[in-house]
Amino acid sequence: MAVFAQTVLSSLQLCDCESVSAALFHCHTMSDCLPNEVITDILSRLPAKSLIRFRCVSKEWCSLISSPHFIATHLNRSLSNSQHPQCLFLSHYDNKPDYQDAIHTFVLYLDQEIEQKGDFFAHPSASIELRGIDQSIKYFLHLVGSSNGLLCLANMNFNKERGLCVLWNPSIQKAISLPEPNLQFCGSLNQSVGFGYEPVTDDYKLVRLVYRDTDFHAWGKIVPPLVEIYTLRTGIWRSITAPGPPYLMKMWSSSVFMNGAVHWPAQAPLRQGAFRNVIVSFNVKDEAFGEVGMPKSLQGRKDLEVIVTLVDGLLAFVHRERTLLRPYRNEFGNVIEAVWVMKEYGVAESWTKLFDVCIGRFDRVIGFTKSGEVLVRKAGSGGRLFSFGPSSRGYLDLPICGPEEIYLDTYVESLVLLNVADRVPGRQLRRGPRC
Amino acid sequence: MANNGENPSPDVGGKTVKLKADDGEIFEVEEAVAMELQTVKSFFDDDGVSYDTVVPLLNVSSTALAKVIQYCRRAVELRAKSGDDEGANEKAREEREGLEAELVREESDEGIKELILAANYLNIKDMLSFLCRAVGDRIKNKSVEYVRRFFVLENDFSPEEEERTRNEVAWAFEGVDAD
Repeated sequence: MAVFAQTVLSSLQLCDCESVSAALFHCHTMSDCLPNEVITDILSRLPAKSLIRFRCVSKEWCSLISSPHFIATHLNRSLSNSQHPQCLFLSHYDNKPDYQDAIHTFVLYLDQEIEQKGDFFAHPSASIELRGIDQSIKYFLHLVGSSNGLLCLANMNFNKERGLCVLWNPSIQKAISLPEPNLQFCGSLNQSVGFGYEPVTDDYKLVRLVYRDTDFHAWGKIVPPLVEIYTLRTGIWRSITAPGPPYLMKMWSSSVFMNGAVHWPAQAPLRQGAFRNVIVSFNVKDEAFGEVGMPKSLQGRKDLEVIVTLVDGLLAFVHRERTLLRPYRNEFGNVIEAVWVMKEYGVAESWTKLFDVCIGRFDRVIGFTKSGEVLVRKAGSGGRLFSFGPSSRGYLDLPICGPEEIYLDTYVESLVLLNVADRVPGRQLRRGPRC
Repeated sequence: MANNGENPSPDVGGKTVKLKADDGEIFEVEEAVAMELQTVKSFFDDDGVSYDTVVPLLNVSSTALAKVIQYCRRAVELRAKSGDDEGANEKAREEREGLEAELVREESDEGIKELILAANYLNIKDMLSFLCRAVGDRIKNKSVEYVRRFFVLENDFSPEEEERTRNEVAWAFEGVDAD
């Protein structure tokens, strides 16, 4: 006992008194007590599942783990891990025969073989299913974007009184539904959306561009879309009063978030009905629109279809031109011209073509695998996936049953959403047709 | 004065520093090794403190201090080996990881906690880091009860509160190691 007392006394002299007393409060003997900073250090290294469970250890641990500071610490450690597995987000029906009875599922598969090239999704992990949303909703959820482990999912019908938009963190299996937006689209363009993270306010934002007028074909004149923003911190939609960007975007345009901004492919009007191909950016901190120039050779091309994506964290796009008939190759239909990447952000001259490829008809670009191959979904072959790169190409048959919709993303473990109150969808959603 | 087999022989060149553990045992270590312990470094950074002064480390047991010294000695050696050469760096890194694994492998939970307290008190960043990682690995698949025992924590939830939380996140309790 004397030795113990002496140890306590000397520790009070040499250590920070406050941490010692705080540590002593919960422990039986000095030797058992780990200081709070040490406990935080240990916990910040744990996977999300363990942390969710360890909230039950004690009230102090529960409030520590749910605290914004700890969530940020854990996230920083997670982000600094160099290896993030890729994941596939799938939305599909089970029990197809009768639409009314079909169970709609939204599932995330993780690629566990993150070190092996060429074995893309050979060993998917057990799936994580999206829970906590109304299963009677028959809309497909599309992946709008993801940041810090938070996925933003929405269906294309998302509009006032219709559709669904969800923020989901699969690592803690928590999802919240967004409230109805304020703006209603009409006409054939309807809307485009984008999702991103703003570090200064530590907030997640969804930006929605809504087109209301179909008269955009008037010579050189575009009716700009209306813009509204949802932020996680406020939990509400807010319209931007400044005029929207004078660009034309295709319906549900592809988007990527990088460099603090959401990017979409678009067209800027020139005189006499001509258009210039551009990439529109929306800075989530300043909430201002800007423009990123495209390679000069493509700026004036008509009927250019552009899908923005990320390759190794760099802004990239896949562009295709329609109906190039090449009988001598026995290929027809959509043809991918090339994959371009912007080596230096904002510097138009740094656009570099990665590779030229011709393949047959395809529906959609899914994404880029870690080994630098583009993954697309072939049209008409039961929706099979096809991957191609500079030196390889071929069908990719995943050991996952054929999904209706599929997206490729990067998986990050985090506790984001843990301290956000559950929001149950308060409105009745109309059953509508599949989109 | 104790003099365990790890101490340098008297005719080795270079300065040494004397560290005293909580039971009075004195460890004589090379200066470079002693400076790995930031607490010791700060002790000598004070003006007028001569290197002959014995540093009292009243919070550290002699068993823990012996292991700390052993680790720091190896760490200093490994750092001297690495340089600009990628290959040498890689090898040094692997050796350090092997050293860390060896240090924690045989340790009991009590032993690891003692080492963490020592590394924390002596302010040895790298050692504290890998020890925290090792503890993390040990507990990540364990039950709530195991963790309470490990950290010696009281459960201050009511049975109803605990039941409710467990039901809400039942998925997080799947696949947990049996105690």
